[in-house]
Amino acid sequence: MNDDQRLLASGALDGTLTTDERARAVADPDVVAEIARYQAVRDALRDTPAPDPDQRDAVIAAALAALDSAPAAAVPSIPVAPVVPLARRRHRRWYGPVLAAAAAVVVIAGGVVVLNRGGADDSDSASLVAEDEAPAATASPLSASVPAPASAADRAAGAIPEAPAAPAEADDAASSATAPPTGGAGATDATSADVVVLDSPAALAAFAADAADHPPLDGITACGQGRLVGTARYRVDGRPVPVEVVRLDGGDIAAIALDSCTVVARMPP
Amino acid sequence: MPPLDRRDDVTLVREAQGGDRDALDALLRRHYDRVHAVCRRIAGSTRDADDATQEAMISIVRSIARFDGRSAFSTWIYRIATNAALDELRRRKRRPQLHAVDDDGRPHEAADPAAERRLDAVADRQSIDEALDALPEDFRAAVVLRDVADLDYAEIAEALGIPVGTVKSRIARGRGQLAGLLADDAGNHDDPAGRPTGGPDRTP
Repeated sequence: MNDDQRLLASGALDGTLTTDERARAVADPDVVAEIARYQAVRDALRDTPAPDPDQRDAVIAAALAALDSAPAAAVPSIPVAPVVPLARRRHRRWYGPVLAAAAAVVVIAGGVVVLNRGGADDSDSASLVAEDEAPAATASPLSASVPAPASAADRAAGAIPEAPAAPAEADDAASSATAPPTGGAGATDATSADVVVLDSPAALAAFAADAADHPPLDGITACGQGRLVGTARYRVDGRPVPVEVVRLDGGDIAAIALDSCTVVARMPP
Repeated sequence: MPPLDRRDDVTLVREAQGGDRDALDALLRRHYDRVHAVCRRIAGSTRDADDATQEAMISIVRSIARFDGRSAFSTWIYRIATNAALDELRRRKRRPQLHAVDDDGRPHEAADPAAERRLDAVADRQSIDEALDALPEDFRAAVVLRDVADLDYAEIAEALGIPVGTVKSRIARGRGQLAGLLADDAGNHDDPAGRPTGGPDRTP
């Protein structure tokens, strides 16, 4: 039995053959025998035990009860990884020594101010000096490094172009975003700092690449698209949105917002 | 049991999306048995099928507001069911196997002819389960969606995210392997003359 005969037999069973193919099938005794074998397989497959009626009622009742809980309620049960904002890591890597020196200057300058003022309102003075002289050390590192967000329409269409990311970004993403997903509380709190924050499609891809080294997550996706890779937050218009990271059937990696089930970022495999 | 709902899927989906709980209940009941059958054949045991079916049903309920109708509702839910069952299957394969007892139960003695027939049925089910278990997941999902869920090639292609040509090929090869495995099993366990033996896919 070769592949052509097998395809003929299978197509004959499904009633999808052309007239010519049907003629070839019936003229070949091996194919005719194979059709009978496939029919027996189909019969066996369809002979499934009937589901328990009580079980059916219970499952449907449980499913309907899920209507009363928001989809995001499922998020805490999905393991999440600890957060290390990628942009912050980049700053640490490239500007760490500079920032450390700046911080030292601030401390020394603050100390001088405190000594000069005699310590009555020292804390206020010191903090003011620090804010004036070392904004890089106190401002959110994310604010300077987040790529310009794409339009919502682009995101929904999965047409977000790959952000220009240096190799170091991907490395950072891989090392920070992909600790084996482990349980974490507060996953539904948008301000909590216990999940990975992704800020570019490149970081998304790195997250997925690293996750491939860990056991696959169980459970279906909340939005019913693709296969679950992990959960994270994706920065959209500066706001970290809870997402599930999935591998779509074509191999693309996508971040899907859990509140709207729209694709907010997408990367080819 | 609730009365049969004569509204079609499209109507029920629209009403369910509008917040009609009864419509959603009717949809779930209408498709439950076949979803369970798909899960049963992919996951491989009744217990795992129950779990996968429950996961699928919950996912359907949570996601139905976002179902956009671009595919048939049945295609959409079988896709969800397939994913849930494959997840359950993988989960089970990671669990240590303590024993190999089929969860459908196998009585040791047949007290009467009816019992013997039931025994045969259980044995047949176990044979198909074992044959399916030996089949690659890709083939298994395609064959089950065709022969159990009754989806056409295009719907299976959409559900699995693969080209129609690949669907045809996977179904044909999957059926060939299943036929060979079942024939081998029949040859090993009961009258070898009654059934074909030695499927070509099993020949080295």
